[in-house]
Amino acid sequence: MILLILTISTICFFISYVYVAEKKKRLLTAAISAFVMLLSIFMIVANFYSHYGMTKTTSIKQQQIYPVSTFGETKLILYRPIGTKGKENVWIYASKKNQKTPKHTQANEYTSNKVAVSPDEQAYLKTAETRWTYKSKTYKFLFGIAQNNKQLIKRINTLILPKSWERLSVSQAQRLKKRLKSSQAQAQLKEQISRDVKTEMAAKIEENPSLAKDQAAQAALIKQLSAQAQKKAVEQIINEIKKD
Amino acid sequence: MSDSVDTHGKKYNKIMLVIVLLIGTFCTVLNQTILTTAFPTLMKAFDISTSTVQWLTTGFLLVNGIMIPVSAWLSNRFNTKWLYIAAMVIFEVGTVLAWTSPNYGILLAGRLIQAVGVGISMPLLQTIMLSIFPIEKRGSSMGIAGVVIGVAPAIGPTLSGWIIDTWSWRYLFGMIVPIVAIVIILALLFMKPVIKTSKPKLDWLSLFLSTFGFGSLLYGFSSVGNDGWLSKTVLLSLFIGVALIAFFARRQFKMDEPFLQIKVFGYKQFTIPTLLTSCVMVAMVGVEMIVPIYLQTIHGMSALNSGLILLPGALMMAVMSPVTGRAFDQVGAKRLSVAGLFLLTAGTIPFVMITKQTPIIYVTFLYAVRMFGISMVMMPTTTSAMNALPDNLIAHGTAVNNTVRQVASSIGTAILVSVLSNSTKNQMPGKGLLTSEPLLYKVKALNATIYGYHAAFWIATAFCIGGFIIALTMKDEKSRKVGPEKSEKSEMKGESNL
Repeated sequence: MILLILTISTICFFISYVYVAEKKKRLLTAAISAFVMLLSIFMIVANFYSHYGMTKTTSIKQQQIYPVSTFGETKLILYRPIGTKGKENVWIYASKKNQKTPKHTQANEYTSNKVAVSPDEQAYLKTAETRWTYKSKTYKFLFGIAQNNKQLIKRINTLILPKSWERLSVSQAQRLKKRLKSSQAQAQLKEQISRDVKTEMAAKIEENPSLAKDQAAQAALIKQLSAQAQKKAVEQIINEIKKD
Repeated sequence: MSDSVDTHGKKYNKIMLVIVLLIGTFCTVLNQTILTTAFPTLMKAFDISTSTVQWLTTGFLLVNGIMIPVSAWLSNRFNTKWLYIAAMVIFEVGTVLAWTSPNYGILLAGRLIQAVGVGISMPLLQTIMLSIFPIEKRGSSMGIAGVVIGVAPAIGPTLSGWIIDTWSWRYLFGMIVPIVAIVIILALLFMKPVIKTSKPKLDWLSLFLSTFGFGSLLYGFSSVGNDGWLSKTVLLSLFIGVALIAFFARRQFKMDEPFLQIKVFGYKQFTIPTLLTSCVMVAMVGVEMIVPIYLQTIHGMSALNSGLILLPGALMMAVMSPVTGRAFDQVGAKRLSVAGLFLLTAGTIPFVMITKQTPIIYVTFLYAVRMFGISMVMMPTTTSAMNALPDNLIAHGTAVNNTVRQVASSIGTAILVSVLSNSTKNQMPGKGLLTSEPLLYKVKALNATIYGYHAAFWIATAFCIGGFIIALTMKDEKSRKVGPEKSEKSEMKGESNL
């Protein structure tokens, strides 16, 4: 609409200033149309320069997210630092269970990311987007043609992660994968786990001698203990990698 | 209307003559800008660098600029019909060479030959249009000429972008070849000797001084973009250019039959409008150049799309030029120029506030408002300048006016480009930030670029305001009452002239 006003007032200005013969009428009509034209230009500038007619609105969305990969009990979420200073990261997550190509947060000047640790077992991505939106239908009617409604001002992604989730950079995750895959490391891991399970088991039996005879309870305990041991072992490796 | 007599007293068909003239000249002037969007394609096709490929336009404009002062002598010396045909044949030869060029050298040669044709045809169009119409219709006739002179360069980049995307760069030249061939044939039938000729002797020294003087000056200004104002190339060629032109001017004043009548500047009502058109030229060419760069770097548009955004403005000029030409015949140049410069200034100031998120449709409309204003100033003011001159000086007046405009636009381009690149450079963040914090770097770099555009648009605004002030000092040569029916009948030749 504003562009229509601009067009019409400009043409009116030309016609009245050039073709109206009588001087008084000419100056009057030209002045009016020039005023309308300048006003519409002023409003256009105000609209694109200081978002005239618009207001900031923030919308918040929250979705459940899933780990990008898991090693036994250990759940991983990955990030890739932007730039060497590492002030901003792109976070990589899965929006569904067992997603093949994971999603990532936006890498642009409007987006910033935060991480919060929660006691919950589930992980969430909370996105708060602040955008310029038109204050009213009138303003939208005036300026809507510019298609600048909902222009993004800033976006804050908050990753709400359970305590157990491990955050690794992409390169750290690659090193982790490599280490876990090598046969030597696997053998070492296996040995460590069985050693851990054995000592733990011995300790448990000492605490509760009746356990020594209960085969079923023993098997369940072994399962639980080996899971624990594996988690501990992987955590240890992760900590080593993080220190590098 | 179509019953007119040529210099031999024979009747001729004026409408056909004008049509042939307009189509031919349109093809030639189109070539000023047709390659700008083709550079990346040509660089790949011939495996050449940016600075090499630029010669296809820089060299072209150089030769074009050199030919304009010579055109005055040519059009007073040679039969108009054969001069026009010669210009078109030269242009056709250059075009065919460029069309079929197997290597870069031949392409460049073709372009330079083309430029000779354009350098003759463009001023010749104006001189003919001014000569064959009575003074009270000159506004309309020049308005029609304005469609060709103003619009062809403005649609060049868009047209070429489209042709390259659809076919190949060779068609940029190939499509012109048959049109010009037809124009040449029609010119044999319909073009007539309409400008009075005499046999002025060719002063070889003047030709030499003008060619190398303007050549060197234009070369100097065109090098500013790459080398900066203080480089040896720029300073040296500007110095040589100014010195040779000074010699040239002194020589013209001393001669009985000057090669180029510089004394046209003695007519105040010629000089002021010429100055005014130069200001507008700077404001026009500069913004025509910077807005596409803005659209491409900030909004990430292709060359073709950025051309399309500006196309409505160019078309606006095409539609308005004949209208404002007629209006000139009714109300004179002063009223039109004051109104036009008001619109031009009002349409330019918003660009000073441009942001990286400015909606593109605003750019299109504000640009169109600017072009609307320019269409009210450019050709009417040129016509007004010519009307101040006696008929025998029109060819010289056209040559001088066009030369001044050419030099002004090259100065303007040089100033705007250097302001743009310097203020951008000063605000640019250090390269180290690019690796440490690329997002922050992006924000800062964009802001620096935007800052550069603001500075350049400020300069353009200054030229608009300067033009506005000059327009106010113009003499209102037509204060008679308006009304189309009156101006059709009026026979006020003597009064409307100085």
